[in-house]
Amino acid sequence: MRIAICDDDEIIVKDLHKKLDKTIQKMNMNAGIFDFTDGYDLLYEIETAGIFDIIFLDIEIGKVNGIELADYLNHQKYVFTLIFISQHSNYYKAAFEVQPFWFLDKPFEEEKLEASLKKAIDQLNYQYETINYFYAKEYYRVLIDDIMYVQSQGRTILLYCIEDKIYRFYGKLGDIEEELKTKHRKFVRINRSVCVNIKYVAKWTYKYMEMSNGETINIGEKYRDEVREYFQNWIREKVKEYD
Amino acid sequence: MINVVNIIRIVGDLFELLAKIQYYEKTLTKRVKQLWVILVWAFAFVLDQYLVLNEQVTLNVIIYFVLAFLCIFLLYEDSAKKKAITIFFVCVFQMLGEIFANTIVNNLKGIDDNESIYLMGYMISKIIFFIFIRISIHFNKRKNEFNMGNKTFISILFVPLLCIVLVGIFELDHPARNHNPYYALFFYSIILIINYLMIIQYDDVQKMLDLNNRNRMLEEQKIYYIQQYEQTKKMWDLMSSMRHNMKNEYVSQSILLKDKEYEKLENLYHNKIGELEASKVVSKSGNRYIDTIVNYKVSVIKEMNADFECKVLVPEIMDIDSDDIIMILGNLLDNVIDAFENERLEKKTGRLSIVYEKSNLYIEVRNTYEGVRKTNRKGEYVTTKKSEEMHGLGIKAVNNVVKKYDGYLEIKEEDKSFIVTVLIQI
Repeated sequence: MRIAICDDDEIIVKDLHKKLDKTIQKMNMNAGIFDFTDGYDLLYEIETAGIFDIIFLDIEIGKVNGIELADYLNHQKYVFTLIFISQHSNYYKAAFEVQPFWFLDKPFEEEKLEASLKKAIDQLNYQYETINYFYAKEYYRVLIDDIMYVQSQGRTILLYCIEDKIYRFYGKLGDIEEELKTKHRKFVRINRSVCVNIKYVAKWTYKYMEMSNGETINIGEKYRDEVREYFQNWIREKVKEYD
Repeated sequence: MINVVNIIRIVGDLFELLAKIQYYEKTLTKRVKQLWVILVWAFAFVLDQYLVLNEQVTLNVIIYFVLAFLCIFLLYEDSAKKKAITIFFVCVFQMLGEIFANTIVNNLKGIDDNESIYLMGYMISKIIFFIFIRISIHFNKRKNEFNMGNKTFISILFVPLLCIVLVGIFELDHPARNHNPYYALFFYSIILIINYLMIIQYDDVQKMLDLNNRNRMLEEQKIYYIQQYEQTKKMWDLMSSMRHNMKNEYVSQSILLKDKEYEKLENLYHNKIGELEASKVVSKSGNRYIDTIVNYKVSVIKEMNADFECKVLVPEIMDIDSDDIIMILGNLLDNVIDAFENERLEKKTGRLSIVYEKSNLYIEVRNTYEGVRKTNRKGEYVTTKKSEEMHGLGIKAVNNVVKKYDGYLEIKEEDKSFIVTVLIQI
């Protein structure tokens, strides 16, 4: 596992590096930690040597804005987990667009650091979970994190993914739903034939959901209260992440 | 049977229907497209024409109400109370219009042709009805929505309802009417005036309630602004004193460093960081309204020695009325203050979360409370008050705002804690 720390204050970087080292040993992990005091250096490293799994990023790194950097990385479709080492609330709104992420306030307490690291690894694992199936004698692996929603049409299951990709195979929605929920936890059934990934929901209303690609999907009447409940719980979980 | 009388009758009914629709459109809020409004009313009209041809009066009245209620409940989205009142008032005006026309025509002497008398009366009744609808629309231009209590609702509803009964009784009692037509006319005029005054009153009550709510909110807002000013001032004073002390502190630090008193130095830093953490305001989302009210109310709560945690995760700008957000948060946090004011409450803990996600604002307030408890015959403790009552008026005001945004309000009781959840889509 590769971990990057990026902050313009060298003392902070060294401190975090030391504490991370300790935590990693404690957790019996195998990881390399790389220090950066400049956003451009981090970017260069990523573009030449590949993405880091976990990035600890300050929001103001000299001339570079951490939010913009994270946004850029997200757009490059890199899979990584982001932890902002800051308490700048002004940037919160901008940070909304960048997911997944959370904040870790300075000075770093070891307990919180360990919790963050565990959460980040969890998050990473989710992002690498796949759904595997055979269709027309070929074997497919689809990243669950990339699925926007799953739809059943008769006996066919359609996986609507990002970048307008659609995969199909034979199966029952109930079974797929179960699999997705155990592997990823972010899926919710919203009507008789559709199960959505809440990550790609841009707008939730009681009667319908608007996906991040602009599509709207109606929520079945019987499912509405359940979906609202799910949404509320999802927010509660989210609140917990900001401890 | 197609003849001139029937055609005129149908035209007259259509005219009446248009006047009614106009009235409903002005007082109620549509839930569907205009096309549907026209289609549903047209369907009801045809059904009405078909069913009402028989001569049974009671049946006709029942059909009238069933159709009117069905259409209105399908097409408009206001509260059932408001719909019922509107329908009953329209019914009274319609009925009185017909009776007026009837009385006038019956007392016209010199025309013997039954058909012309019928048609004339018919047309006069529609015209009277139309005039009343126009006058009502003129005075009742605003669409307002407020949550009236059951008592108000019943007293307002009873006026048209009792008038319908009264007119029915009077109409059956033919001798009295035949005795003196002017007496009858006088009687109906009074009923008409009573009903009309009631509509105006009803409108006034709505206006007054609106105004009261507004005033209360402005009063609250004023307090928050003053509080905000004081907070800013306090912060400013703190900043200048900090700047003043800074130099002294650096001097003492460098002395400690020179003397290699590392432990003392570390302690110093530790204390300083702690001081900074403690002076943190609870809400600093950048959203002015939310920050102000949360910081103010939470400072009050914290002065009560309560352990109150806050999480505010919202963008700086949200598309929601500042009045509404102040109304919700102010009332919910006031409830917490009320609960904590109870001296018998031993453990004062609570939590506030405000989160904006997927175009929704989620607010959760949770606090311990000491309920008013009473024993039953067996000596067991029973809760005497429902959670809504415990939270009193505030929750009603919150509920009104939540309704405005088509949102969701939930009040729960969980091991000696109240949990109020608000979810509004913005």
